[in-house]
Amino acid sequence: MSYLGIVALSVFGANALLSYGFAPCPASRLRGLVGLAAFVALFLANALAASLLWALRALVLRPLGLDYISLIIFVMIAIPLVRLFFRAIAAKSGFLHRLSTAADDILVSSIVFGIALISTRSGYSILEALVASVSSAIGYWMAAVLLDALRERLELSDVPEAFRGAPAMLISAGLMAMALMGFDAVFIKNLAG
Amino acid sequence: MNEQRYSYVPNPVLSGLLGVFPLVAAANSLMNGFVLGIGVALSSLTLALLMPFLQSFVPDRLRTPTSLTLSAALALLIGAGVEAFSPAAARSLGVYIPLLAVNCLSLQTLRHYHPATDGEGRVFAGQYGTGISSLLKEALGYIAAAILIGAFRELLGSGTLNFAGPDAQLFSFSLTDEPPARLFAAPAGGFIVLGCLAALYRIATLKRKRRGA
Repeated sequence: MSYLGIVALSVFGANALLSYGFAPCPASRLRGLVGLAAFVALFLANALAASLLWALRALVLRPLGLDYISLIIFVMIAIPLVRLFFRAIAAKSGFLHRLSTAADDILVSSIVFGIALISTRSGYSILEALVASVSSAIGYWMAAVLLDALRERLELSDVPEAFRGAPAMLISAGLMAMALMGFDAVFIKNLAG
Repeated sequence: MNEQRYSYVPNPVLSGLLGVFPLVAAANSLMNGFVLGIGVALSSLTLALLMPFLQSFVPDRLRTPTSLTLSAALALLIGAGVEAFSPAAARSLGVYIPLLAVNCLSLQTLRHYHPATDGEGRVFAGQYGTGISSLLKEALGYIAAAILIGAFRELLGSGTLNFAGPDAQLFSFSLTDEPPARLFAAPAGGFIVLGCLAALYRIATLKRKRRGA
């Protein structure tokens, strides 16, 4: 698949939030991922984690026949390295502080784990895996911003009591996911090569 | 007093939306829902049992990476178990089995489950037991929600209900010859089913509160 196809598939057809359901844990400190610092943290964390996992699997684990423990190696090596990167660029206040705080929560979530696992298991080269993981972050952010806007409108609407809040949001997310169902892999391959 | 406090534990999926991501995307059949529910419950309960012992000999700085590694190792073991029990379910769940390592119920256990210890790291038995019983109720709630969502989606998405063991089909039911609404087997249908079940759960909770008031 061309790079344009990988971007279109990762943003629309295989959207991290609406197709895979990846999201930060509601129990974490993070409240949504719509802020710029959180988006940049997600973007960087995905790119670094996917590239590191790809390199570890291709250069170390597969030659040694240890691919089945890639998840443990990812947790033991890739995640601490990405965390170190964010600690290194952290500041006491301002944008870099918000960035490293957001990264702490994002790193231990299904978004970074899931996107890294999917982009390295799809048979992509390292550059394609990098493009796929970064595009997935963009797709996630796009869906999160749209859902946040929907949430604001729903708060002002007269929704039945039982559907207020999470149920209405889930049904809205389902309707958005239906809209993206048209962008499947075959359609994107025919369109973008 | 503590027993009273924990006598009603809200369903983690339908009220707190904890760990919904695998249910929305992968729990599109009764079998998948069952496997995911059991996997998440096993993972979080094992972590909760092991965390106090980990706390006693792992330094604070290394506690998060160590518990995450433990969580990943558990996900690998559960994956091997699922592969042995039902290879078809393991193939269909794909990336969601390794992702049990970062399921919200497990992460909640890692983040918030800190049973009280004395100065030497020994666990106070009473509080430890209460934490486990509360988590057990949450885990059972998760299993029930996962099975319910999986069964609903399979019935609506393919018109059948199947449950297969390692060697043979244990249960099979056919509602219609044609799938009534294939949409419900897709993630979009997962969001809609989950939203409707969460609303039904809220109606039941509100009625319960009004009766209690």
